[in-house]
Amino acid sequence: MMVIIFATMLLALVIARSSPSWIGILLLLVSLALSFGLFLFEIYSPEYGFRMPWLQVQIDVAPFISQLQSPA
Amino acid sequence: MTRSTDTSLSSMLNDLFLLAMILVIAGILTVAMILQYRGGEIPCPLCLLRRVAMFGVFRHHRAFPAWSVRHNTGLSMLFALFLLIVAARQTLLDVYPRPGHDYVGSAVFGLHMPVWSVIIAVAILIAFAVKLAVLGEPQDDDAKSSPTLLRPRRMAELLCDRALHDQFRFSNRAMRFWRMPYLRIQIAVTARAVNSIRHRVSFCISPGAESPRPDRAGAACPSRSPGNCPRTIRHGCRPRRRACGSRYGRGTSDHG
Repeated sequence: MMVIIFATMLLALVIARSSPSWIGILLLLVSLALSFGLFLFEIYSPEYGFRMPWLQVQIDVAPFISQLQSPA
Repeated sequence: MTRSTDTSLSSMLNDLFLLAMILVIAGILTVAMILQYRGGEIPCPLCLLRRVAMFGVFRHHRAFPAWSVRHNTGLSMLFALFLLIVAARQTLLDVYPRPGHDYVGSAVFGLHMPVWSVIIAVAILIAFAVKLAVLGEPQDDDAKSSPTLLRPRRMAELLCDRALHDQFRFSNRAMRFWRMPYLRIQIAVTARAVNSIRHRVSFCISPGAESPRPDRAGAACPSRSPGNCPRTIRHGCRPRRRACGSRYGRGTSDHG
């Protein structure tokens, strides 16, 4: 995936020198979109990525919400 | 100064700004490469994404001469924002590392690279904001011309134009100051008073001295006729006669 991102960026540079400008802009935007997709994959992948499940935020919040919902 | 000169100067400052930014980011990427190949620190995927973002900012503007400058500025700001997001997320990992996977990496000047990346991304965004605020919106036709920094003669011309403009503005201000009617009246009155005092002083020093102009000495002015003007009459000269100069030949004076 990283190779594709770098190749897209390189292609954007090469094409922008000779072809119409909108193709280069489009390829650079594609490269940015791919990078953002990879970033989301990295931070949300439970096995491989850089997710932070050790920050147990939901468990801390859940009793607080249940206290709010209880009539007592 | 004309509008085209203003635009060219703005384009030159824009080029200087981009050159400085490109040098800084190239230095950062070089340090990262040295840490990778010399220090043996293999980059993680988030580090590579940060490099992608830096390349996106880095290859701004003049790398794409066919593009509009506005597009390049917008794309660079997008990549800077992406760099900020990735670096902030990686800094969170640095602050609270995964158990058993402590962050591996050497600090540069006391800070790890993700933290440096946050600072760099914020600095890039602030620099773009300041550039747009100070230099204004870049012109599209600047992208079609070659960079001003590559044309030293043009750069020198622009700087000379700027200096001339400043000088002209200063002289303009001085002329405006001179044209104030009150000031002119004051200067005229002062000059007249100084003249009067000077005349009186010279009269007191030599009261019997003959005035060079008879009308100032109190004598009655003679009636004007051709040849009796006291300023132009030549005393002690022989009256001119017709062809008196030709007696001594061409090219000689007629004083004998």
